[in-house]
Amino acid sequence: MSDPARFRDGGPDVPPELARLFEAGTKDLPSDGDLRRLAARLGPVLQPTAGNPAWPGWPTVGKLAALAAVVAGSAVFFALNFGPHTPRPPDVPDSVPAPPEVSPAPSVVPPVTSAPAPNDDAANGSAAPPGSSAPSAAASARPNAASSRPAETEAELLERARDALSANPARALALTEQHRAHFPAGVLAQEREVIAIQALKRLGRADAAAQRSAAFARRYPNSAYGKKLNASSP
Amino acid sequence: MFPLTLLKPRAASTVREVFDEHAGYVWRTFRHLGIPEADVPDLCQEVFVVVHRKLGEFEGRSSVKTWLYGICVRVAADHRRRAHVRNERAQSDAGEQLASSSSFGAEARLAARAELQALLAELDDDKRTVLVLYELEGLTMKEIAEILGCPLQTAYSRLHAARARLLEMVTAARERGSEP
Repeated sequence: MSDPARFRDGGPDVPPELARLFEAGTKDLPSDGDLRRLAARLGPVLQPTAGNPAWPGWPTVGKLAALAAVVAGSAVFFALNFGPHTPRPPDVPDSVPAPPEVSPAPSVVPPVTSAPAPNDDAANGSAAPPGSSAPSAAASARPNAASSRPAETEAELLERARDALSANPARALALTEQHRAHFPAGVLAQEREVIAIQALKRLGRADAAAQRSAAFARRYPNSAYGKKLNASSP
Repeated sequence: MFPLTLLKPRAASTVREVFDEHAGYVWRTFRHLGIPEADVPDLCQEVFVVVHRKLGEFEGRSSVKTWLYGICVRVAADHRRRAHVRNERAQSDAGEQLASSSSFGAEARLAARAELQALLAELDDDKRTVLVLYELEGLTMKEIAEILGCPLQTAYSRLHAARARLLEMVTAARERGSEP
């Protein structure tokens, strides 16, 4: 069987109203501004990597450009959506100890990410059964009104965690906990967990790292990070 | 001998390249699949985070475009399943955008969008998905069957039923003396 002529191509059997509407539909693309804002939301996810998935350990060469892009993108986004950009608060002090497994959720205003964590099954062709997908957007990273901390994208927060990984894994771990508290249904939850596991290993907490790796494997059985974590297991 | 590897489609090398080439089409696809306009950026973000995670494993057995549309279809299906989906917002989107639009070109475009979405909304999700991928995104029926994981004949049946329903609506609208 061959594919039929498309509505937009017209033809004797296609009412002109339909040809017109479908022709218009093919041209109904988002504006450049929409795409720029989307790119800003994605931040470092769009930066070149030496091999995917590699964001938690992307090459040093790309770091400055990526950070600049994130900062510039966020600035544009906030200028457009939230008015004047509030200054970034003091960083997490270096002396912050490794946090407990579940830390109390501080107030924060995550800027944009209301989408639930992406389900990797979306790429594998095995959609999750009803009710098993990520938490709803309503329960996700919506801001707490009593925020004392200005908006920082989850990508920016994890970028700081990743940067701290080598020199100060305790701080990296603290930042990942901060991410978990501020973005409970953030789209970069897998990236957070990978950084946290690496931090635990660097802190010599092999048991905790193994426990968290196992939890990761259960929660994200199809994750592309699975092999990476297994490969770096002690 | 001609190396077989050269016959494989070239896998996109970076997420940025995939984004630059396809983000607009991903956005448009969600719009036509009936995702409320306000939720489209969230779903696009989901798609590219999945691409970021999976691109390294992409083997080029299908085109990037087909792979990407497959992700879109599943992300949209997940979205519909979520209990909180705000159906009422979808219905008011086009009207609100139209009301806030000032230029004639934008008004005409939004009016056409609203008309098309009203037609597509009459289809169930299975038929709508096939119709959108074929009529608006230009995929072949073979690609669509591959994306949906269904027999080619099933995809053709859905397309046929969807087209028949649209023709029926246009005919009914003509009889009433109005646009569809």
